[in-house]
Amino acid sequence: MANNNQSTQTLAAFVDRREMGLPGWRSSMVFLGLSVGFFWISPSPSMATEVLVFALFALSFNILLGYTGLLSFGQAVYFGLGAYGASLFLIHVMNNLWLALLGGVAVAALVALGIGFLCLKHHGVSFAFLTLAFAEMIYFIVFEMRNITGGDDGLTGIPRPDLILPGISLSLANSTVRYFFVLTLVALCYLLTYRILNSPFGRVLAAMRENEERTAFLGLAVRRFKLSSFVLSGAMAGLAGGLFSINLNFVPLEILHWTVSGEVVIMALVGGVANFFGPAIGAALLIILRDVLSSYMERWQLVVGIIFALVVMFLPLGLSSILSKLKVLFSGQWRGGVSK
Amino acid sequence: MEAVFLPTILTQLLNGLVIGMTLVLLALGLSIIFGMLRVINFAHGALYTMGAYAAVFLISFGANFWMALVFGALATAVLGALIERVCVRPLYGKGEILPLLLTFALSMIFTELVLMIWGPMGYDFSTPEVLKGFVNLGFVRYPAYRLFLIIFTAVLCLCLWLFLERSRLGLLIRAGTEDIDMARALGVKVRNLFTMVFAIGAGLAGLAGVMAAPLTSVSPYMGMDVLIQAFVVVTVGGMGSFRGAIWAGIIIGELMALAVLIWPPISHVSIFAFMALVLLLKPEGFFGKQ
Amino acid sequence: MRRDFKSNRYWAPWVLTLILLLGAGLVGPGAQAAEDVVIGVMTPLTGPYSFEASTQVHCAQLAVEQINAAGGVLGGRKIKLVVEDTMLKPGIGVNKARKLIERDKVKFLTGGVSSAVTLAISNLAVQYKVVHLGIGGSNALTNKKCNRYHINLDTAAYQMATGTGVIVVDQLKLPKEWFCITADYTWGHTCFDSVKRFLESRKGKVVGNVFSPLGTKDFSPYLTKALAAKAPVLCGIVYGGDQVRFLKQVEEFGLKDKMKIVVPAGDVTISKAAGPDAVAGVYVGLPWYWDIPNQTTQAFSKAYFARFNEYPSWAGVQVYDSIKVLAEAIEEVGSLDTGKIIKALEGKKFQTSKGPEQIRACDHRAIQDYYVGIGKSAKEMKNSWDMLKIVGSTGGEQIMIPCAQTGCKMGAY
Repeated sequence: MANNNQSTQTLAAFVDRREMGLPGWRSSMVFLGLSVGFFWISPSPSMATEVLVFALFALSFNILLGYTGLLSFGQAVYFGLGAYGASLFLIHVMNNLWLALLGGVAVAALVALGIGFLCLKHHGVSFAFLTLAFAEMIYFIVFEMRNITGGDDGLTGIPRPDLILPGISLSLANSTVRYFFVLTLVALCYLLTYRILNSPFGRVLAAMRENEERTAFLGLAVRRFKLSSFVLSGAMAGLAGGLFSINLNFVPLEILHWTVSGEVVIMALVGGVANFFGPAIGAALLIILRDVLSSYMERWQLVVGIIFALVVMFLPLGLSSILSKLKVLFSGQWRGGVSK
Repeated sequence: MEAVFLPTILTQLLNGLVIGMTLVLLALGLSIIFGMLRVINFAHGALYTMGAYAAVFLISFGANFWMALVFGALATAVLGALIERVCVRPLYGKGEILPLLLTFALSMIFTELVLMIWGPMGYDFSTPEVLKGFVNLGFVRYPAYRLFLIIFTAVLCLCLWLFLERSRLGLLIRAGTEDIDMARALGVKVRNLFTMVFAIGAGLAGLAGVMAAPLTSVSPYMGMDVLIQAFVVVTVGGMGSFRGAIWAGIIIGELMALAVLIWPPISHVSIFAFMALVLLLKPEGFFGKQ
Repeated sequence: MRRDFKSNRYWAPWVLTLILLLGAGLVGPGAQAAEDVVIGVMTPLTGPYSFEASTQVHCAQLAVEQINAAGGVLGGRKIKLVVEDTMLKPGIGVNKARKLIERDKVKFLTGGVSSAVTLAISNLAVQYKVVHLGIGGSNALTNKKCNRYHINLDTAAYQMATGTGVIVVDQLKLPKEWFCITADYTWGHTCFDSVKRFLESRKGKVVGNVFSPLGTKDFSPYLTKALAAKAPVLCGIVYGGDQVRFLKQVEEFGLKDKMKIVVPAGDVTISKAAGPDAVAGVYVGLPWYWDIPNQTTQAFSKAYFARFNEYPSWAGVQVYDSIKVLAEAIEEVGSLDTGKIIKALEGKKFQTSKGPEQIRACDHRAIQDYYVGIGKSAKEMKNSWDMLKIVGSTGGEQIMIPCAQTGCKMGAY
């Protein structure tokens, strides 16, 4: 069990348990308000929608890293398969939004179940590399199956489904409808995740993250809890993928590439894995940087690289931790003395 | 499928050996860094690229291939030492994930720096005059440079092995790899050893970059795919294992070459399937420690 | 400690606000002066094709400078460029194109090196009825996946394969039994099919073929297979860095002594990266080359070199031609009505930087000339750009896929 300790220490070393906060309803409301307002601030509605999609994708990743203590280097698989699943359903089966999204989620969750079943016996680095190996395999399989997936060209010709709610039917070709539709689903997913993490199940995950051996001694089936968390994360990444393909009306092969798995790691880390909204902050920052900075400088990735390196070295809890430190300072002044 | 004759198969085995040997150089560096520092160096591919560009830089001043080879290796070794001192050192004791992410960030930065300094267009890199032409092996006339690459890498591995097994410094490195706390307790200056090991690993990556340059020419993204393949080799051979890196490098090289004879589309999938299989059945790799 | 924990949750939203404001501030008022005509250049400045991309930007600048110096369009309105980096990723390309269309109300898009990105953007352009003069060689762009609003001045894979074939087989009398090494993605596949079709039409054949994955580092296993097949001609349907490595390794294995080497699509940038040793004696198919022996090209190359101190890749020149022909069409129509502009472009005859071309109405590909250059040795080169000697040219409908066979069905205007 020597390996066990290693993997738990891996994360516990930089994520202090006390810091793994869940948000209160007030900050959640502020956050929701901001997300609604973002639609008008953002340079374009589709970019705003993409930020939401990646906020969900990064959350799915953080369920694993931040809350279960597993570093997956193949998160793009579930995102990609969710997108391909939903789009192929729209093309070949029927033009129904809800069923298509469900199909994408099902494909992603099933594959997560399979991969998780095989990989979760392993820990730390060998787990990360196993997920990478499977991700690369799936990338090349989808690449080679060009008849079905469009291979390197990506998947085009996806019909645009309508959003059918009781009483009304709205066109998702309209970018405002699309944004608020995606926002609703992403917000629901955040709520769901919050509820799950706040439940006894969530506490078991936290316990495993802190010390897997002790959790096992308590008589809890550690692997089954891990697998459930892995499948939940996969399903959520699959939903993010499905929404991504609906926003873009296209599935590019690149979303299965290992660099996308790398991007989501950067998003979560830069935003802060210890903060519930950290991944969303990271996703927003990275996508805004990508879309805005790249219009001004050719080597914009240098800036992203430097930010990332600085965060890892000096702020391992991400950008969201800067202001919480400031807050402690201020509240100390206001309320007389910093608690420590 | 056309008939495959014996000479073709033999040549293909040689081709596989060339691919394998480049991977061995990279994997050895990754492996000794991991063995001692527990750092998975994602910047290894970028260091490979930097080595090749350092060589291009020196050659532009009129140096020959051999000087460039030494310079490329030394420059990346110095860079490696710097990375360890400045960036990786503050992260010791904070687990395996942060150093991994840091080197990932560094690889982004290095690639962008190469693009800024040398531009996006690739450079031609000629084979040294002495090694142009062929050697007649009976079944095929094989390019001399490729044979040199195989032999040179083999000799280098031998030297490295002798260094680790026979020299005092090598002894300390092995002690550090085996049990870092014990080594520290016995008065070994572990910190300097860390810097040295990182420098050696980085130097090997730079050397691999220069060695590969005449075959592939030099471009800013040359290290990207090679890095992933080197990871395959390291995990298959066993993280931190010297013998493992060599054997796995050769096996993966041969696998990729022979897949082309059988059915090219599987050449990529096959190495990752192999990697997954090895990790699942023997997580520590062929030669790794339990 | 409790406060520590609580504090996290209040501050998260403010960080997001900060980011959003930062983003909004940087984006700023994106409005253009009302009278400018904006053209979006979608090009992969980040990634392996960044040299081609930078020449696309340069070429677009040159075209716009020339048009504006001559008084702009529609009685004095200036043309303005917006450049977006697609990073060679279709998903990012589509998002950025949509940003231009939605935010900046851009009605004209051009640029592109990879067919996959161009295809994805063309799919978007038709939804918004935006004129898309994309660049990309895959046959798919103007065959089954063609659309009304996408026009392509690049040579199709069909033109590349057939054009090269006509020159090297019909004119230069190379043997008709070829072994191919083909890049394993759309462009490679369609180009290979066209090569096969051409050879069969001349009573020759493809002796064997291997698909090499994109980004292949070591071609030696493929070359060994090619050598075993004993074909008189080796055809490398690979591009970019893959072609550089292919040519270098062909030279290394001494294949040039045993067979003729043909690459149906090359570029000066690739030849330069591979070096004269590797390129010498190789037949390189070219849609454009700075030293094509005709006055129009020579004049363009001179002007370009004077401005940027380099020669462009052909992907760049096609952007120059696209912007020029677009400006002409706008003048002709007299307004920015995209439907009418498309109609004006269909069947349009115009002058490009290499001579006259015509856009076919049936599939929106340009009828144009194709060239083959043969690699010069280091001794023959006059300067570092002088890599190839043009040895033949062809063109016209004969190297294009017949309209009836394209499978292209255009939508409404």
